[in-house]
Amino acid sequence: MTKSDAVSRWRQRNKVEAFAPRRGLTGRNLDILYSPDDVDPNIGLPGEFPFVRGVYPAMYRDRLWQMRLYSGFGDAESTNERWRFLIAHGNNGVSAAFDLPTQCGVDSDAPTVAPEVGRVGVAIDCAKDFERLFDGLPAKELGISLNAHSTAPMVLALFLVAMERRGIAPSDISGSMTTDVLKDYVARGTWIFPPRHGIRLVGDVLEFCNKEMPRFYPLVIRGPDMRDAGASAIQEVGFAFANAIAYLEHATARGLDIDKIAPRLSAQFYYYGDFLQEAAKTRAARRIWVRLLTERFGATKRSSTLLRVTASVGGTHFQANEPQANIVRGTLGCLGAVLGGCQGMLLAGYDEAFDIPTEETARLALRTQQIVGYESDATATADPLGGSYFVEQMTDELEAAILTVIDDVAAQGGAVAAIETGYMQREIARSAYQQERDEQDGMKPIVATNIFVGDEGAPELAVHAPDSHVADRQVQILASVRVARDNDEAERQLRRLSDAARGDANLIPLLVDCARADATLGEMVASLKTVFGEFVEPPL
Amino acid sequence: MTMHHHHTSQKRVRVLVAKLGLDGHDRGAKVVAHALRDAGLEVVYSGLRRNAAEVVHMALDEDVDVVGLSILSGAHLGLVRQVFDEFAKHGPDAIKPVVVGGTISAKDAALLRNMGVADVFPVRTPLAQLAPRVVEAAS
Repeated sequence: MTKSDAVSRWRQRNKVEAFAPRRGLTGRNLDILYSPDDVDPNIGLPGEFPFVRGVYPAMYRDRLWQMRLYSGFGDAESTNERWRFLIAHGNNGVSAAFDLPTQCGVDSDAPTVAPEVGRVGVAIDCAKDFERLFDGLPAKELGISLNAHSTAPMVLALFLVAMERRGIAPSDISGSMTTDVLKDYVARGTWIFPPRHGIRLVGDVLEFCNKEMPRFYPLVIRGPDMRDAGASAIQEVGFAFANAIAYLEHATARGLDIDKIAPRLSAQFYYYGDFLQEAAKTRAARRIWVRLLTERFGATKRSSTLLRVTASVGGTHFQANEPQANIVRGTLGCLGAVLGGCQGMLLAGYDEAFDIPTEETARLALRTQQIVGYESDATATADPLGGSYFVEQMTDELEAAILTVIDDVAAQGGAVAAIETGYMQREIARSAYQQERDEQDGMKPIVATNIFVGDEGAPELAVHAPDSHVADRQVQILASVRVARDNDEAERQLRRLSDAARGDANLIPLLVDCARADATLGEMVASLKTVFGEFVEPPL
Repeated sequence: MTMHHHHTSQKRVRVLVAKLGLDGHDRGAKVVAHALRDAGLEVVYSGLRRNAAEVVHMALDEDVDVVGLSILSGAHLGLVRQVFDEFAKHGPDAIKPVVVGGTISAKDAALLRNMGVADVFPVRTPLAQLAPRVVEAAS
């Protein structure tokens, strides 16, 4: 008698086909039982090819993931104060969120942007703002992550000049910058230039950081923004990797050595409550990545081929009803990220669905990570899910589904073409519509929102009135910078920038020169727009 | 073509779904656009980062029956006022029915209606209600 006979008889005996279907992350029905017949795992060992079981041999027994909280609001001083609080509570890195004008490349004193200044992140106009932001903080010792995308090259230039004024060299700085501009066209809508020019700037950042910033991770391939926009877990990883392929093709075409840039890349993914499948997603992503880097890009160094993952938990799937229940949602997401073997994590405050996190909710988000890290045995052994029939089968299925998405984008002509025609945007919009229908008809249960709805309801949505003091102060500081600087020099540097943009030169050193002359972020972007033009959205 | 006796011809309701301001979160706007199309309406989508003047221009150029504004930033009161002011610049007859969706409290929904907004759709309004209420707003 073989095992599969026993399983078949068990299935018949228990009439498993009669139970209601339950859709998994691939869209396929999840089986009630997975057994050894289902899996033929090609998983290797932790820290070894194909890195399914994790990127380091001892995983969390060696060290836990980096615990970060995404924060930044109002002006530089209030963000600085929040960071000091978090560092005092054991946070070992800071992660800067920028306001929309900073993300879209306009200055705080531009017409009509006042209500957005300092609203969803900190406002950065010039190098002085970074000096204020890091005032008194041990910038050399911290892992600093800059959540900049379309404006990443300008943000980096302003940051480096602020550090230079404190005597800190680019080579002293550790941390990361998002820089993933393509996903801004697909999901966040904070695009500026047409994507072909966006890619060139990413290439400039990669090349510059490769030479000057050996401790810095200059590009994080991001999925969470697409998940926010309604992408499935499959599309999240598939589109993120399709974007990564476009960056790597661009970088290698301009002569960068894959084994120099790839070791500094990382990815970021989002984690819902389906924590077993989300963990399988991370494992599948690592197996896809190692093959992509070796087979397609010819990487030979081990560190080029292992995928470091930062987890993003909470925000999108947090609910406004009975918000404290989000602490549990965050815990499940955190657990999925840890069981998948992440290297860093951003966990949102439970109030994020309706308010800017307070010190208390930010601390709880950090405590959640610390409890999973120090009090649970999820961290005791490398890849604790390895060999689980279900998780191994999901890893295989998710891998196949993600590869199909990557192929679909290739069939569109690659990521840039798929963005220009609106293919990725439309696929995500379709998925968002499906999700909304599933949530409204209860197909996707959400406790206290579409099932077991209590009478507590949602707290009044805290829509913070725009703090006009923040905008006023920011505009004042900006005005004083504009007065104090040598305007001719600033204009000369901005002209050098636009001249260089017409050719192939790396623009980062020119942006740094602009920042040294106290040119503003908005001025740098405006200067580049005269050469690059602006993105035009394809139809829905 | 079947004719309704009140109309010379049965025209599909055309609606402009528009985003105002820098906020790039267009998930809600696109879900609404899909739902309205599924229900047989003609949908024009504005794209991101539009200001009030651009939205009103599009509404007039595209000759839509209703303008649907998606606003998640919390700045709905000011932005909707700007849209009405822009319509007024095009003459007393230029105005189109305006509906608003987004993160809008019950209190603000009442204020919007007082300003002349035909209907308000807070986040999680059932999809099935959208098309009938937009058609109602158009008439």
